[in-house]
Amino acid sequence: MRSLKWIKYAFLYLMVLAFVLPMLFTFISSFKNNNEIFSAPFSLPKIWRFENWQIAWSSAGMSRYLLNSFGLAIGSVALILIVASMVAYEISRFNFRINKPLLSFFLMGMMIPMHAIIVPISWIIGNLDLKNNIGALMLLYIAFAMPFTTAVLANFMRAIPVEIEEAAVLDGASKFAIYRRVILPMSGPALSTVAIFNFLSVWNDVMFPLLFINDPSMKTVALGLLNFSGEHGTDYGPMMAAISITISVPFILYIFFQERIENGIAAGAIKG
Amino acid sequence: MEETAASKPLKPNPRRRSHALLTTRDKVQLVAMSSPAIVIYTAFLVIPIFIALYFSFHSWNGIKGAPLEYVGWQNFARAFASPLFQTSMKNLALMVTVSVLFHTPIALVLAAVLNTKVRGKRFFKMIYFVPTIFPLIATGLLWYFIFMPTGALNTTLTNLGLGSWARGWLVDSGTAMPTIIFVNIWAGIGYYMIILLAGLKNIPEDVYEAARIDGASAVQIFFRVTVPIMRPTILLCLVLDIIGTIKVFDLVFVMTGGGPNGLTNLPTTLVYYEAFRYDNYGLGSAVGVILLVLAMTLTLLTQYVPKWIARKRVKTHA
Repeated sequence: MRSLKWIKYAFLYLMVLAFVLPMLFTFISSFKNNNEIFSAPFSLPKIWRFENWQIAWSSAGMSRYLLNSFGLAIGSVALILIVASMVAYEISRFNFRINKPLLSFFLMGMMIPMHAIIVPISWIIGNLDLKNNIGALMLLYIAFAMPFTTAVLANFMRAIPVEIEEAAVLDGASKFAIYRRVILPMSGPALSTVAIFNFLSVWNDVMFPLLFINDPSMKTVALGLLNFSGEHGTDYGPMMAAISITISVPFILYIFFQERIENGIAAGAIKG
Repeated sequence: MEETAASKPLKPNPRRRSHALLTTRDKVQLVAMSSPAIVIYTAFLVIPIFIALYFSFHSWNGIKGAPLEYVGWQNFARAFASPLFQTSMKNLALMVTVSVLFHTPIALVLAAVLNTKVRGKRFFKMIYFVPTIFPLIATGLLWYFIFMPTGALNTTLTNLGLGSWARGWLVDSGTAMPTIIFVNIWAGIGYYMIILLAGLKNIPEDVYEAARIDGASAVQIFFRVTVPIMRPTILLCLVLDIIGTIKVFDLVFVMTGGGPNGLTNLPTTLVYYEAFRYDNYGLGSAVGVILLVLAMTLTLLTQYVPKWIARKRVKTHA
């Protein structure tokens, strides 16, 4: 039994090494100059060059990109929640004949890989003169979030007992009032789960900003990082600092929302 | 009898109220509440599918106002005849196969070990899982600096006296695709681990207890108890993996840009490069439509084939 325990921990720590080493290399390198990164990748820097982080943060614009990404992701998520919860309410709480086909119509979107339709999407955005338009990006993210979000919310709302609505109905509340005052507050757990997943998928996406944002002041983190590697590609220290900044956000999110994220994935959430 | 009658109305049944009772105001509100979702989803996801179909039968250089010329199946013929497209499909097949072979098995072993008494479980889970929610651009760049010719891997190999093993991992035609596939596996294990871990938690402890009393070893328990019970969850992971791998784009885009000589393209990156780098909008759309058909076919197959097999099995047993 004791040897088994030993093997167990050896295995777990070996896997930790496989996951941590590349991240550790990036983090340590972010304090080095090019020469040190190349000669001894895993040794600690002789001089800690904090200016690399300074360069990544300010002159390379990572701070700006972080703000942009936050704004875009939070705005998109807010709109996604409003738009999807309203249609999910209609689909889940009423028995119109159209509801089943409507839900299937949304579910169909899960099968569509974004890259299969980027050509027409870029044609539409170009024709409507919506380049460098944050609102247009949000509309795209709403469209692509609908299948997953509507499905999860409708599923959750369906399980809310109808008696809960009765007091509001007796008060003569309208359907919108019932949605806002009764159903929405009760859907908290489902709303927060889809909020986190949609936040991550907007945060991580590079395709739409790459195609539709060329104004440097509007770049997102993923796009900024991509361009950084093109422009300062040989300035490895600051590059590593920029990567470290980018991957620290998911770490922080995970630490705060561990339970929600894990339950969401376990419930069959689609990868962002 | 009275009891059942009294308890009946308490049964949650949200569909009980018919919409015949809805007032006009209610109906107007419901239509207004449903339409934003329907309109946005239709405009930016559904209509593009039809435009993609239209484009794929036309030749067009992407310039606004330039004429579209109907060319029939020519774009598709060109795609299937193109070595670039053939390579991208082969790469996709390889990536799906290898990812499926490694993701779920490694994730299952990790999940099974973490499901036992482990000190620092939260730490292990975090380390394995968080890379799966990194932006893939960051994951790709992180590994790019390890695999590039002067990168960390080659330096370490040289420092260890294994200099002859050093190579241009992402530049050599022989290693470029396997390297990208490796990173794809690295970036996905934790995700499947979380799904499997949730499944393992549903197995009651007495099942293991019984096996242990029968004298089964840990390895025997894993293969004879855990794997069979977990079969549905394992299948779900395989399905998610197949569908997820079709959508891989960022890793190739940032690590090799499809090179060397288009050898590491996937259909997704080929769509992007043909349309936005070489202005072959018709060909790009055709590859996009092929990708669409492939994704839909595979999704439907993975949804219905397991159900069909299960139904058949029930029938033959009955």
